[in-house]
Amino acid sequence: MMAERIVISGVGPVSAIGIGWEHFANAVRDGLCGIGDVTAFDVDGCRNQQAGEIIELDVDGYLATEKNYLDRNSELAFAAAKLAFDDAGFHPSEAATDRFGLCLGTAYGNVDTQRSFYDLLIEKGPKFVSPFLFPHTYSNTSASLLAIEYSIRGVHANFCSGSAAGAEAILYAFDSLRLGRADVMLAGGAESLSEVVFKGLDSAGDERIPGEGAALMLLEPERSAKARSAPIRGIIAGAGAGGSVDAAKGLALADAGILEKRIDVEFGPDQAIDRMVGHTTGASGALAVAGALAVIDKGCFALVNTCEPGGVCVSIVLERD
Amino acid sequence: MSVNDANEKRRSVVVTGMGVVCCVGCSVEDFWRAVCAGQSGIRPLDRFDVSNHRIQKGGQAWGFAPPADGTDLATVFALAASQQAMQNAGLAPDRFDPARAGIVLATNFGAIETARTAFDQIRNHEYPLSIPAFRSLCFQSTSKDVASALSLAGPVSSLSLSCASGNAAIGYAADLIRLGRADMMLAGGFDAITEYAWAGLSALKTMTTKEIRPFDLNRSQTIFSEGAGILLLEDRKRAEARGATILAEVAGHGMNNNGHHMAHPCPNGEGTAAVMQMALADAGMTPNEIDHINAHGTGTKLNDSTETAAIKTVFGKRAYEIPINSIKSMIGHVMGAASSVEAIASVLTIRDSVIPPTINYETPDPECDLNYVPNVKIERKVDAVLNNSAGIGGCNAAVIFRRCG
Repeated sequence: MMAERIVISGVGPVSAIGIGWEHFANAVRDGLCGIGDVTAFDVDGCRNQQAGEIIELDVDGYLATEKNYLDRNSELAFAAAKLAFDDAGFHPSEAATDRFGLCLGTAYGNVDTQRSFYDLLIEKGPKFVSPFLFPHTYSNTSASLLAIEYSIRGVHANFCSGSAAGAEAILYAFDSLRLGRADVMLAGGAESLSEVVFKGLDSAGDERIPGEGAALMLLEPERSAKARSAPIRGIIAGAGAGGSVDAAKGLALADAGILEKRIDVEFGPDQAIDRMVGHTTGASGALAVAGALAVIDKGCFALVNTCEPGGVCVSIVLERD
Repeated sequence: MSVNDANEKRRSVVVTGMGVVCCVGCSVEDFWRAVCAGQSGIRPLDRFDVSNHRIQKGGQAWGFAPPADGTDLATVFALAASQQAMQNAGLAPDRFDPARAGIVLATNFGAIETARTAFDQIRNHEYPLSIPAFRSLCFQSTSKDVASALSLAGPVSSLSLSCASGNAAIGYAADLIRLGRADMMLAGGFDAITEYAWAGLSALKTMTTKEIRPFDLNRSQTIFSEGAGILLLEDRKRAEARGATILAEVAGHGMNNNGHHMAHPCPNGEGTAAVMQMALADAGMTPNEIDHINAHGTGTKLNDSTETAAIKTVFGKRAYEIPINSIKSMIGHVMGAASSVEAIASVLTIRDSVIPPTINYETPDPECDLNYVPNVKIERKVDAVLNNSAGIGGCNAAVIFRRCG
């Protein structure tokens, strides 16, 4: 039995080089760089003073309902979700909600709200912390808020596997569709630029320039995407995960049924996208997939390798008809 | 081999080892003896000063000596339970291929007690930040530390799905084996009671100062506790080939979201019913094949009534015949580890034909009118258990364990 192909029918990138598919894809093709001096917080004394910061993000334009509070990470996820739906010509309210799922990756989650909550604990004491803020401190808050906003009641997972999280979310969404557990999946990663993570990376001597961003994409069988005349951005030909790049790549190529020499472009975080948008940790694998879709030519294969050292590596083979 | 081929050949995934740290015991057998005897581990907390907290009682891992070297306590829980699971499975370091062995851990708060130092440093304008504190901001740090200590070089991943975390980790890890990405995986949840978590959970007003009394008319909210529950999952053929003792099969699982509200379950438990149905479909089983439900059973007003409604939706009239328990009545709500500790109880129920009780049960609630195994364990052969869980943000996860024939 020939399994039906799973396509990426819409992409919602939010990054320092562009917000929305057209802006982002053009910026990737032009090799733009969105890295600049940090404005969000004081970086005096830091070795590195630059990041791939998103300066202008009007989140209200991406919300279906009014919100009293959103962590920056949740804002990025909300923007990416709306952009992905619009790009795919997909109306979430028309989906069968228990067959519509979500896989999100984020390394540090809503760490700024965690910090705000912790500051309240220290300054005011345990009886006076905010019951309102606390539910926004969870790593799964962004995924949960999206599920509530759009009634996404099917397969649901939130990966925190560091730099691999976004790619792992896409991998698992792809698996969920192939295993028949869902009909359509929203998947990708989100990571905000937070002071504590920025300064932590700097303190640790990490040489990557940090960035922030999100990329969510809609995954579905080719037939349903075509029925909606969605602008198919690419096909996921195969994917794999393992403890090393070689293990993940080997499984992904075997899954796609192709040899490595058929790969035309390698477009992982380390190879390309990080130089444009900074290292966006939990979003980096998803932004790399989005970037690869921007540069891959018709009839070609792209390979995205994402790795969290000492953790999990995820490889995704993309194809364009 | 492609994933589609792997799934069609569907590798069976089995449990061959387990490890637990919780308030009633820091080994599988101590834990099991206590919950079968109906013993509670809920007492006044003593690790930090709780006099200025709203809630003073909880389930500390009483028998567990905190690490003297400053290693994060939550991480040490995860490591200790993982080591137990490996030993229980008879897996010495030379008995497996490290590249095909991995771990999936899941948590709500991870190593926050270590990470908080980074928040303090930012507040006090100190620089550079502590590297262990910074590292601990990402939950992946614990998975990597445990993997490194146990020489696991396969997929090492982390999930966070609030109080459905433990089951989600088991389900995802089982998929990694099923789809040919690993041959053995440690999987489960961990969390520690810290000032941070305790203040937040108390503020949500989901905790009681009285007894935790799941499914009882006079239940007055839950009580949180700490620990880790880790299962060693293996490809069945490999487990059989090495002569391992197979405790149960991971027959199927589901994870979803209510898509309803951050803090309240669906009014009729729709999300919980859906996740149980997902697990049954994944297992290729019918509701008639489930002999026992290890419930989420938090003891909150809303959870217990909506979970009961969900069980009726899925099981119909049989809902009244299936013994349903909540071991949270004894061990409290172990946060991200809750469902994986309950998974261990589910597997032991299959092994020993004993269903632990729901203690503190006194007054029936007309809205909760099923068989909750009140106060005293029952002895009965059980071939398949459905282990249910749910958490803040509307996350649900269910895993079905089945006796291996």
